[in-house]
Amino acid sequence: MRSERFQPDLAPLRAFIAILGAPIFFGATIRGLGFLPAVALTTLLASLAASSRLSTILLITAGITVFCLLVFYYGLGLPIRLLGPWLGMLT
Amino acid sequence: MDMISNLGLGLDAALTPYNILFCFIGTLLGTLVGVLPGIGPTATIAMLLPITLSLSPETSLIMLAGIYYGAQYGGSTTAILINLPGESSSAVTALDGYQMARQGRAGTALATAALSSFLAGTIATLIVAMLAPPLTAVALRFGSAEYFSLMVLGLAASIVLASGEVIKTIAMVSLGLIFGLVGTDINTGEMRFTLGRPELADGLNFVAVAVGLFGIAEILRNLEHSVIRTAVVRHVSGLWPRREDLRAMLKPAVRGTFLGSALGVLPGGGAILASFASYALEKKLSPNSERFGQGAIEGVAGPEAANNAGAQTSFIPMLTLGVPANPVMALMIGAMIIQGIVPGPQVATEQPVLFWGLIASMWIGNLLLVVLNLPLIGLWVKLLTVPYGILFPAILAFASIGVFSVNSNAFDLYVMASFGIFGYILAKLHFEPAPMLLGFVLGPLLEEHLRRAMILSHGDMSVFVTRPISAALLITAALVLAVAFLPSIAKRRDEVFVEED
Repeated sequence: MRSERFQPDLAPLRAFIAILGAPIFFGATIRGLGFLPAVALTTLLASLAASSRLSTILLITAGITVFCLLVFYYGLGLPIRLLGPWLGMLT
Repeated sequence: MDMISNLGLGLDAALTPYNILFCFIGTLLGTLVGVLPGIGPTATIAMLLPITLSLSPETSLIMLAGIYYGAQYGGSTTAILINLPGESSSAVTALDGYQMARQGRAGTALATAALSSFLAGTIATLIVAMLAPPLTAVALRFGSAEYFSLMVLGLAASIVLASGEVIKTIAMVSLGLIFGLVGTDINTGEMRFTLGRPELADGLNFVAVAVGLFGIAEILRNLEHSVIRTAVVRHVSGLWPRREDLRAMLKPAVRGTFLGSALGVLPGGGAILASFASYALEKKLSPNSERFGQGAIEGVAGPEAANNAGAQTSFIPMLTLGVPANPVMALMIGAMIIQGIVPGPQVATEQPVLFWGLIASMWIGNLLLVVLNLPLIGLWVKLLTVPYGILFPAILAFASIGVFSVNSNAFDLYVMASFGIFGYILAKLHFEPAPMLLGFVLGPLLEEHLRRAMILSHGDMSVFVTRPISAALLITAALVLAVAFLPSIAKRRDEVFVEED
């Protein structure tokens, strides 16, 4: 089994980009964008790792974002702003 | 009668509605994640650990213990219903449990797993309560030299008991020790391996490393193939075992409990061997051993009991010595340190409520498992049909929020992503990440005790061999390592762990 040429079974590239990109994106934007957009976009990015229909992805994202909002923001009261300063500049 | 009053104190602490609630949430969440195929207890705890950190120390450890039991039971459920064990310990359950499920006895198999686990949990809780105080008394007499030698023994044992090639495991332990060096040198204030980043001055964040190494890497591995999960059963019926089933499972469960309890106490991960050892024992003792592998109820009851008892008694070295017996305990110690509790024998005397509350909550966690999970089994079965596409973005979101919330530090998320890819590469090259995590947790403690012992002895290295306990521990460590390199043992290891993944 070991004697054959080393050819590992790898996850598809899009999975790597989405799964590793999601936490990096979260880290880069959590302070600037705030909790709500950062979680939503991170989840969206993560769910792109597996191929499914756009409507499914949006539904998953919405559901998880609402859940995180209830559990972490309202439930555990994490000291993070809901909407960050970057968004303030737009309005 | 000290034990009774101590357990009473613990039950008092654990039985507050608040703590029961979090024990329950932990058990539920643990089962929820543990039921996902391919995710074992270590990964489950790593993913859920950040959630517990905002609680008080007692409650968070109680919740973590709940997560642990839940995750183990969830792993057994997956093993029985779809023959996909989450980690090596439930691989044994899959052997006969899956066959029982295919014969339409899934309900009985699941109930057997739960009841054997509960029996084992009850007995093992008493064993922990009995053994912990005397061991704590011994440990309180330990000096830095003894601690150093004990940790060397723990690391040596983890090398022997991990699966895979010995040389790779040694490499992983060493790498873990090196990662543990990152940060400020406590004696001189010198920066070590920080790459000039001020964020690394406090060292690598343990939660970020653990979540990356186990959680993120696991998700990547699961995305390799679009797994089509086929549960053999959609509806589980006939949950309550018949009288003859109960009779058939009682003795194996009791034997498994004691075997597992004994193996669980060993530092370095003896609990992993418990279910294998129990299965082998039952097969040997059974008059009709040919039924094993074809749906023998003893083949589910024994290993499940052994596994759970081992899981429980592996708390003993952690609670009394502050030395983790396996990666799960390493995570527990990491959580304790973050909560500001220095693990070790002084915990029992300085924080009796926490200490006994945790022991009592083990039993409560087991009870909650039986009371809540058996009626909910239909839900878990349904969960097996939920596509992975919904679950992993949720896990990733929780992990990101959780890791960030530990220190409100964005840099930790980059650490998590880096260790995610690193953990994936390790898995592809067949390196075990668990010994590395053990090295990473023990590294700073090892260094601290080494340097303190050296300062006390004015730089005289012989202190480690002239103090009798320390010398005995080091000799044991050397023997353990020598055993690992014996060719006959090395061959046996491959057989023992052949079931893995």
